[in-house]
Amino acid sequence: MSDPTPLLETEGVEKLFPLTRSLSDVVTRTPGRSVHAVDGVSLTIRPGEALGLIGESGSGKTTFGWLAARLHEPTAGTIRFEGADVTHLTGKALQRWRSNVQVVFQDPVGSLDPRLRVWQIVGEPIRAQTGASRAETRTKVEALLPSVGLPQDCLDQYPHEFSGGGRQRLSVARALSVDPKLIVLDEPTSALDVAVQAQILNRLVELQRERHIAYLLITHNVAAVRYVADRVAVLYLGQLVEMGGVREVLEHPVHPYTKALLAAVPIPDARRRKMRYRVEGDIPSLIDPKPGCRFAPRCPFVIDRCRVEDPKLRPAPSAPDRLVACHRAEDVGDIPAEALLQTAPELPKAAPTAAGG
Amino acid sequence: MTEPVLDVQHLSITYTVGAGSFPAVTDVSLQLYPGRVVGIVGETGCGKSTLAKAIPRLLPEPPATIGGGKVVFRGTDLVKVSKRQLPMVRGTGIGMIFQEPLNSLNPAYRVFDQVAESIRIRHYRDMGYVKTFQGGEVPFDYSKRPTETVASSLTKPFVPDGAVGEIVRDRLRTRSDFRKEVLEYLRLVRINDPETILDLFPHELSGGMRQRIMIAMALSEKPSVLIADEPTSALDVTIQAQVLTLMKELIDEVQTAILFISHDLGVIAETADEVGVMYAGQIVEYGPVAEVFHNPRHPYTKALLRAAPTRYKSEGPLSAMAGSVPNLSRLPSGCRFNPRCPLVQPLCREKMPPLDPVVPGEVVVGGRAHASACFFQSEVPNLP
Amino acid sequence: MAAGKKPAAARPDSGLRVIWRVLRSNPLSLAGFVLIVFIALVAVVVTVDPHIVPYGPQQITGAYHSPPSSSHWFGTDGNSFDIYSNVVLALPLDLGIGILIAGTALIAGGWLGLIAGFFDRPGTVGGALSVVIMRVTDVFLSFPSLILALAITRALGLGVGPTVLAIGLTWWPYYVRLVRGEVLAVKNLPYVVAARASGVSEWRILTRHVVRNVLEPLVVYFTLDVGTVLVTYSTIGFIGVASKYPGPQPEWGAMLAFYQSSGAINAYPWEVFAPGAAIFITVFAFSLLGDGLRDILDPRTRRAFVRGSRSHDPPSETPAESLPSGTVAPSMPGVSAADRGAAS
Repeated sequence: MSDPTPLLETEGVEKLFPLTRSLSDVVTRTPGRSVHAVDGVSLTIRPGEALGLIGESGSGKTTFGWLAARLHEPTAGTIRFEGADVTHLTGKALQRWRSNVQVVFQDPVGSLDPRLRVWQIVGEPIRAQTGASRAETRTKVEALLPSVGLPQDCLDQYPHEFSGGGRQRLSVARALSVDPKLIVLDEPTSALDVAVQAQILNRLVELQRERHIAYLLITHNVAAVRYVADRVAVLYLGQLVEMGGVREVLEHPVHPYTKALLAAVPIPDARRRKMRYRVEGDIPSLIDPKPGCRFAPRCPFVIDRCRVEDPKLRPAPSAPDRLVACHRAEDVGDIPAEALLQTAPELPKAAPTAAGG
Repeated sequence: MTEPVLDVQHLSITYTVGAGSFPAVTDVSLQLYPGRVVGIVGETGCGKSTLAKAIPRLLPEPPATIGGGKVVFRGTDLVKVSKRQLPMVRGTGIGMIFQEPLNSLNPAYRVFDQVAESIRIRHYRDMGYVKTFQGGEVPFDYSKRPTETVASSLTKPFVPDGAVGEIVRDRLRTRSDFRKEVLEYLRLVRINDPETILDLFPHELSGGMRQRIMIAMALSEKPSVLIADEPTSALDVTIQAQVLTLMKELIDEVQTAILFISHDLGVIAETADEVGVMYAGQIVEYGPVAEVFHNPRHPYTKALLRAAPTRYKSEGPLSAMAGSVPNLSRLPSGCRFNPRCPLVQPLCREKMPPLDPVVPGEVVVGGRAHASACFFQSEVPNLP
Repeated sequence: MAAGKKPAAARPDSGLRVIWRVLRSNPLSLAGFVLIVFIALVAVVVTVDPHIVPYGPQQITGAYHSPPSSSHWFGTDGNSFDIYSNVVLALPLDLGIGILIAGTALIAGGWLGLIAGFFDRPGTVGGALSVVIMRVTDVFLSFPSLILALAITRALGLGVGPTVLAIGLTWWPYYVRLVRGEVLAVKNLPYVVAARASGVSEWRILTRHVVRNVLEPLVVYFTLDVGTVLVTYSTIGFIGVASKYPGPQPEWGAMLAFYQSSGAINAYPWEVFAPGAAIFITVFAFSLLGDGLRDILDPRTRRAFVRGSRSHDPPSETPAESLPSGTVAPSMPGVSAADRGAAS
């Protein structure tokens, strides 16, 4: 945040999706309700930096990504790109601005038009932004494909001829085609197998180093964030709960939700069989949320204050460059994430012996 | 404990499409015992879901054909059962939990109706109104269960009284008579306030709640075998952890034999006692979870474990596995992993390695010994 | 449609060869295709030279109620008119009516549906227009189209022209519904959002992504619909308000009506059979063609067919093989989606 001109800066960005009012609502003058998808998020992305945005479904992470790429218009707040206000850009100006920010979508099948060939798909931003001819587009796409690890001779293939990983490479190539300054990666690997996921993540990190692109990596996958991101922001029900350097946040989470998230990640360790997860309750509704900390209903460390007063995002007690939104940051900050896992009590039943078979 | 509830022996499944065919599952053997969980882990297209659907014969045949092997369930070979008798087989105690709970629940019915329907059908079957398939000489005996818990009493079959009047009254029962039982099952899957949940429609529930309902429905049929095909893959991480914790508790309580399928090594580690690693339709490594995950003896298992990103980018690139999952219609000769294997030798291209025990002499089939289908399995620990 | 226009000159599987391969692998579609070509040819020949058939529409042959024979292929009727000649002479009219009405409806309804579907954001001019279009469409749809067409015919007067106009007036709302539904489904698909995120203009999104993906179901529906129009027109003809038979310009529906009302159905079944069979075969051919077109227009099935039938060709031209990230699981016709899911 010390950088004088951050690449992307959002300030109290809000996105509400109003619910349709039924006839009876209109008659009884019930005020319209809305889904608070993103509720006052302020963050910055510096040039060439990878910011990981972790959250579960309903956290508003995808909505935030769409706001950052201006696929949505925020209900409130401002979005600045290289210092210029882009919150309410429309029409031609918006189309031209889009060459700065490109998006890689989650669904490797759906985000590629099944009726277009590779060069048409990857070249679409080029043609939209520069009005290049067919031949020029083909040449540019051909030059671009090796950088995402695809062979040059697949220009005329259709997307369904590629595996999931291949399709996601196409998406990345499409995003790269107009040399953007920021790429919003919306769950880029969550539809892929582990082995393919590693290939794509390696490629993304290489590309970032080579081209000095900034990433906004939106995912629920802690492992992907750990590998790709420089800084990480944790989102819960539309609000930032914690933000800081990736290593600090993942190794010493301060906010109880970050702890709960990290403890929940299944890891291939046989000892986990005996562990019981001690966070309960469902993710509450985003429709007109109640005041107070949004994690309070599930939080193992909840006190009365959490239920009435919104916690503000403030510097964490231990490290000043980390932000956390928790009333009890001082008390619970040092509790490790593993504390939310407990070993199951031994059951009285006779354990089947290995010789049983 | 000595008798497996479900015994899959050398099962092979082929898909025939047009003129071509490809082997989706090749020579898979595994045994399920009450109260134990066998995990199957593998990447997309490795045949794990095909296997899951083939066991209760839910695969559409054609295009699938069961090429060989047996699926012995309570003494009956399900492979040999005629198509006409299949519905009865499915009713007799193989429960399924699928990945997408929203698609698996009928959106037009309330939670109560869905759970009550499965209880009612099971009840009718127990009373003998609905034909069931009682094949073989070894009927599964629920009373052999080690301890009586709340849950195991729930999964006991009805005992008909025999009085004629009772039967007649029973015949007239409708779904609404099962309210108490439905509530018990909802409590079993730790749903708070089940009275309210009963009257909701599936779309009004969260994903975790829907998956709990699915589990309740599967359990309410009192299955002696439960097949869970990626049951938590559609859920959020914290909700997945909650559902997995519920499943772990139920595994201990219900004492059903479970086949748990997932692409996530971590999820398998959470739930399974033994794990089979599938690659290109074969089980390439099998054994207790602690053994397989902490001392893998197949290069594929090792690579899979290492591919999970656990490092920061300052620590160098992730170890990505070379190559890709082979096209099932054009499999390499010999070991199917040989084009991607760091240990490959000429022998691997000539012969298919058998599933050999890691400790020589241990019984693989029917036992729980750690086994690996690799000629050079002793060299795997030396791999980076 | 897609393959022929592309500059993919070097690629062997474009244009006619693809169509041929798809058709070859699906004999029913091939049959439909051949039948349509044959029907169209006959229609053209008859239009150019009506004397190609042995008798004129109202020519007295002298043979009354004669069963099918070598001189009268489909027999003759009570007026001693040759049924074969009449059935063939009716073909251009019936086919023309089918294509004209369905085609007009396709163009008119298609545009309206496109506008109603793509610009349906409330609070904009397009949104208001969309609402108007849909309400008018609903009004038309709320009448049974046959009854409405009959009423309009009655109001406009008897004859071919008024009937065509009447059916045309009732036909377009179905296309509005179809196209609007498809547009609504397509326009929020991830790849359309992806195009928008790339900075592609709305107009280009409409023409490049939306129209292109709506076209396939639309063309398929159109081919099936030509048959439906034919049946509807014949039904109106059968009721007796469209064409007069016997008359200078025969029409299948009117022929059926005439023979049926003259009691021929019991005594001289061939008289009813010939026009009935003509309607049946034409409608059937169009629906077979519709199925074939669906396969040809979708690059996914198209490739699958080509792959499947190319297995004995030299394997040099399967570039997907060289992808480092791996090939798709065997993509084969028909079951590919299902077994991909099952095999995961």
